[in-house]
Amino acid sequence: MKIPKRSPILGVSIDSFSTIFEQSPISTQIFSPTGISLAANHAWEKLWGFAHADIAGTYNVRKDPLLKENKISKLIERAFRGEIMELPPIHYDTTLIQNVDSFIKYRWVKALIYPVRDASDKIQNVILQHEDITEKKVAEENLQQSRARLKAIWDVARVAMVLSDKEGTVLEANNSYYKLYGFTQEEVLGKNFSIMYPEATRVTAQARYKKIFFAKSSSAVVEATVHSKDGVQHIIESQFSFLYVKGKRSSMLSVIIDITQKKQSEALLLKEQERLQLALNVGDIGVWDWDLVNNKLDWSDKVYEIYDVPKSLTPISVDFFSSFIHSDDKERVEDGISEALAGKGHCNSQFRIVTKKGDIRWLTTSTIVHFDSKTNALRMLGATLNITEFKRFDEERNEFIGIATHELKTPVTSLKAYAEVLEQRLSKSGDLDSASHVHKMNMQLDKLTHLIEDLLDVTKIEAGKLQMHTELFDFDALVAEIVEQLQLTTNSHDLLIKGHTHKKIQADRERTGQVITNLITNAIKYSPKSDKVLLQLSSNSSTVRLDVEDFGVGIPKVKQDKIFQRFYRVSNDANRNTFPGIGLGLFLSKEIIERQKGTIFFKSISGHGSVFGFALPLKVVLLND
Amino acid sequence: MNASKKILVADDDLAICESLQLMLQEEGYEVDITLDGSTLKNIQKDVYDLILLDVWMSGHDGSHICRELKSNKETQSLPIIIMTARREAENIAIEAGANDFIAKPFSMSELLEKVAKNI
Repeated sequence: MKIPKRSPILGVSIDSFSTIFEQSPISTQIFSPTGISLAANHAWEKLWGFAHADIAGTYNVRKDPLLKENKISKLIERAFRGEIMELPPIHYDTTLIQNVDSFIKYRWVKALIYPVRDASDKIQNVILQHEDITEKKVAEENLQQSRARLKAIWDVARVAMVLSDKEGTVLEANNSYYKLYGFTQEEVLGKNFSIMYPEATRVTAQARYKKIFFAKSSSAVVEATVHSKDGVQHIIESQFSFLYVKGKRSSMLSVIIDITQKKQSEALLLKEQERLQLALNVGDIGVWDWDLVNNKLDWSDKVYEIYDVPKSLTPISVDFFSSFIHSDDKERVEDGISEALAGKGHCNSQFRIVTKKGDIRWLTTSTIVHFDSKTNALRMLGATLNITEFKRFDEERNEFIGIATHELKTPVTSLKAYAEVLEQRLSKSGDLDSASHVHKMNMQLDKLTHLIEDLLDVTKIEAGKLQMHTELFDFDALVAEIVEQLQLTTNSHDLLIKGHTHKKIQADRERTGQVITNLITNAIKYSPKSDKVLLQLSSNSSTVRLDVEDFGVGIPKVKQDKIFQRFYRVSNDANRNTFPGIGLGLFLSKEIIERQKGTIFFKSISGHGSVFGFALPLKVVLLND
Repeated sequence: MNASKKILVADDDLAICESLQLMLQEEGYEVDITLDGSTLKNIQKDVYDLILLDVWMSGHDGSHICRELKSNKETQSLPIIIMTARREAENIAIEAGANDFIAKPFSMSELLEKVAKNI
């Protein structure tokens, strides 16, 4: 491009041109044909931040290394050869040029460089004019950055977003939107959104869209059911906002959240609640919730029923609840609650309530306590079951067993009397053979008696009525007495006592004897191939101890935790009746020893034998009911 | 040797009464039996030397009868042994003011020992 020749401007002085040059807001610099900077105006000095005088006559634009680096030199050279050149925007680090710290360290500068020729068309000067476009550039960059940020959010957003026009044509949509419907960008972009819907529903979908688009007020959240391409149903929640052109809605931004999972878990929760409610109803269980912070007690309907209180009676206070508890149980219940709240965290209790009508009801309650981080109790939750019927049944059963046992004993007593008289008469008459038969009959009657006694004891334990009586007695003598008695009827085993305690203990002699008898008869019973049972006596300053060791069948590991259970018998699986008995002995022994604050223990190796033992304190404090 | 001693067995079960009667007669005691507790109320002083009294007689509480006999000046010196199928025999006997007790079922030697001790 060449500068067209102009006719001289008449009547305008050279001073005017100088002034224009000096005052022009455009930075202007004049070079000699060799590239030496001859002059620069005020705007130039402002742009670069120093006086031109500092470089006048010395700076050569054609030799500037910085320009070479930026590949601007080639373009500048073309201007020096006669062309008008527009230089591309350059990012200048002004600190490299300027000596002073400038406010803006970097500048974007766009430039025009062109030659001025004399009358003979020879290049007289080259003029460089700069335009500072830094601000424009920065604004542009900021805009680009915020666009990029928006785009990133748009792309990664978990919610589906779509921009569509008034017809429903998809103008833009994010990845989540395509994912939700199972379509690709190519399939949807620029087309009506309804193509993603099953054909039968498209018209309705479009009508609904238009209703939302042209609604007077912006609609709130809309819930709908849609299907993705693979037929999976999604429940979605949409919110809309609008873009306007000349005051009219031009497009709509829909933000769509897939709430299928939320809905499903809500439904599941509801189902769980229904199930829980059903379980509570079937089990006749009432639940309650005691807010300790506000001292508020909440009862479920069932609790009202259990306490026979009308539902209208709300709120329920803790004092109100307390007023129902039977006076005999009150202290125990309140102690249990205090203990739970003080840090134990739970309590289970059975207690009686007296309803306003005067009915006595038995309840069983399990509770748990929630604490804050400082272990202050915040909340107590409980489940309550009315066990009145169960208790009544239990009492009736115990009474029945009691009567039945008594009725069993009466004929045995009579039988035994006849047998003993008979045995005595036979002995006296010299019929020793018959006498020995009747004697065996007597032994069997004793066994029967023991069974009846055991049954009665279990009944008493369950009814909490097992009474114990302490007396001071010689422990070694008791063991010796029992061993002597048992040895009389035991031919198969030698019962050997080792050691001694030399101690008198304060305990229930008869019950303790019952335990010793049980351990020894068990040892004999479960060691049919052995010929001895060892009894080890020992003591320390506070307890006496007896260990009964046999060399018999032992107890398999898996069965060891069950042997103290009621009616449990160690049996050979192949033949359940290998060892007779009804499985009450150890259950009773444990109960008797523990009631006397003692401990009962055993060690057993299957196939080698067992050691059963107990220790009793020298002075027993009875735990009578 | 026991021929001069007379014992009354009071139990609502005939088999008990008869078997105890036999047992005691074997030892030479003279034995009367009664199935009805109410007959004990009108018992004459000096007729019996000892009473074996069942605590659980139908219609009559044995321990109640025992208390009555023991509170009556006429009969309070008459030895009474309470018989019971319950293990807590001792408690019942003490409460009723009986001289002794024996738990059913018992052996002959046990019974005879108690009778001999109290008669």
